[in-house]
Amino acid sequence: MTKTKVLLVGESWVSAATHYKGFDQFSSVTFHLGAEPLVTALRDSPFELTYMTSHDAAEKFPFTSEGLAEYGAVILSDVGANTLLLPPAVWMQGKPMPNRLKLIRDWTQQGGGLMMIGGYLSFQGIDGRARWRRTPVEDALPVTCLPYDDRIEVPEGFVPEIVGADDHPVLRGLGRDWPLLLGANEVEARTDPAVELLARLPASEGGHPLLVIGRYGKGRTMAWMSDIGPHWVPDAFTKWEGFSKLWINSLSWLTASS
Amino acid sequence: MPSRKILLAGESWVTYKVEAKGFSSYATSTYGEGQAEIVAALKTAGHEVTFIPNHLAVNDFPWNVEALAPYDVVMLSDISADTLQIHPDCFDRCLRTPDRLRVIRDWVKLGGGLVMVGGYLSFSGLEGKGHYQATPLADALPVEMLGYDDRIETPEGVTPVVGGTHAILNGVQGDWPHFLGYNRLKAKADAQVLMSVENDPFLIVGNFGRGRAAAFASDCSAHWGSPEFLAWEHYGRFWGQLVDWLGVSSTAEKSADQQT
Repeated sequence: MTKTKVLLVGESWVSAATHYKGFDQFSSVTFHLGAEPLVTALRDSPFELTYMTSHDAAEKFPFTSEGLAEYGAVILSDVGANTLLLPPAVWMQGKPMPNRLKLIRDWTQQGGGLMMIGGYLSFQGIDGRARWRRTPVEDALPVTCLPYDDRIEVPEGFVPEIVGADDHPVLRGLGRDWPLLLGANEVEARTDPAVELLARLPASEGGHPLLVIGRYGKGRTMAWMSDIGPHWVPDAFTKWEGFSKLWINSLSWLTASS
Repeated sequence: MPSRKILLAGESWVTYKVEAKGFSSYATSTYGEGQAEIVAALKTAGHEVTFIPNHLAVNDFPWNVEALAPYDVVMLSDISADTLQIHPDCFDRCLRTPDRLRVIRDWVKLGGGLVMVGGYLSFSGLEGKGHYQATPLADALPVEMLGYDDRIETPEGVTPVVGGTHAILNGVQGDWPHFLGYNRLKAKADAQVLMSVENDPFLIVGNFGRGRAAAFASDCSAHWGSPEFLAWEHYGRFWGQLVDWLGVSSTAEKSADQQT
């Protein structure tokens, strides 16, 4: 059986730390990958994941619809709109380049599966820097972004409230007792009749959408407002038996039309 | 075991981190301390510990020998010479200020106990930023320092070995846990090397005037101090006995000790 190809964009960062010890300081630089729990979850699944890191995405994310044709789904996770809007050719040389946010939107409309996963550089993100609000990608998503920093930090954890039916293809086999999550991006679900709210934050945390699915043209779209792994998604969640099921269910539903 | 009064300075840092994700970036700041294990171990061994983190040491580390008098042992761990030598009064306002490394040296000479514990800002340190080699405190320490970046990074772990018997190592039996790095030092001619690692001295002790001094080439905390070392059954006994030996300041106790 040939596997369905999924393009995951983001989930990586370079950290430059300056350590101040009294009078002195020194620096260290480290590189991090955030999608390892998802990579593990999809290892023996019907999906073949292409993991495109944030720094690669600027130039390697396809500039044409042909470049996306091989994928059944595109997942944007913890990568800001600027990374795709401002490749070096635009930013450094002032050359016009294709707008890849429109490319993603149009590809979805023609039958692609688009998912955004939450994080500090997803939806509107920390300090509002992810900046997906009022972009062509937001047009395709089943949720809309707030105009400002949209993080909901819940250090004590919250239990997701499952709203969708037990036999919904995305929720099948997951039960209603999900482990704790420590945060999510606040978004608003679109009122479109094709949009379904499957899970939300508890009322004590505002009752905001946590997992939403929708349709865009011939394509399917999904938004998961928490993260893939720490810190918003603790180890107990990634080790939960439902974790890989959640992602496989989601990707199965997302790619059903392609 | 008699109780020693210990002044521990260093073992803290502020980290300012920029996380770059593709085009975007954001910054976070954190404050960290490496004192938990050593302070707990010394207290369990019956000693009293006063801890001054790096950012407070600038102002709060004692300025004269009298202010050090309440202590038996000064423990410097991951605090650079600059932190104690260059106060804002001197650096920003060009005023003359006491050299606290000279103060520590003079206090040891009068009978105080001193130990420097290794780290990125101990001895010569990372990029030479520890910078103790050209200070008065170098007189009191039982080692010579390289002057330049003296780190030996051993990510695969190195295990120090004991070279003889000494009160500091009484009952500290069996193989030592591994360390993930250390400062390369050279023992002074009149110093005693109690432990070594590869071909370098690891634990060195000596006398200075009426006082005692020691150099421990690796760290008492992460990351050079491995989790195995920090959880080692003899961790507390070792540090407790080290400060016990260093803090022998009364003449009576010292002469009794020297007869054993």
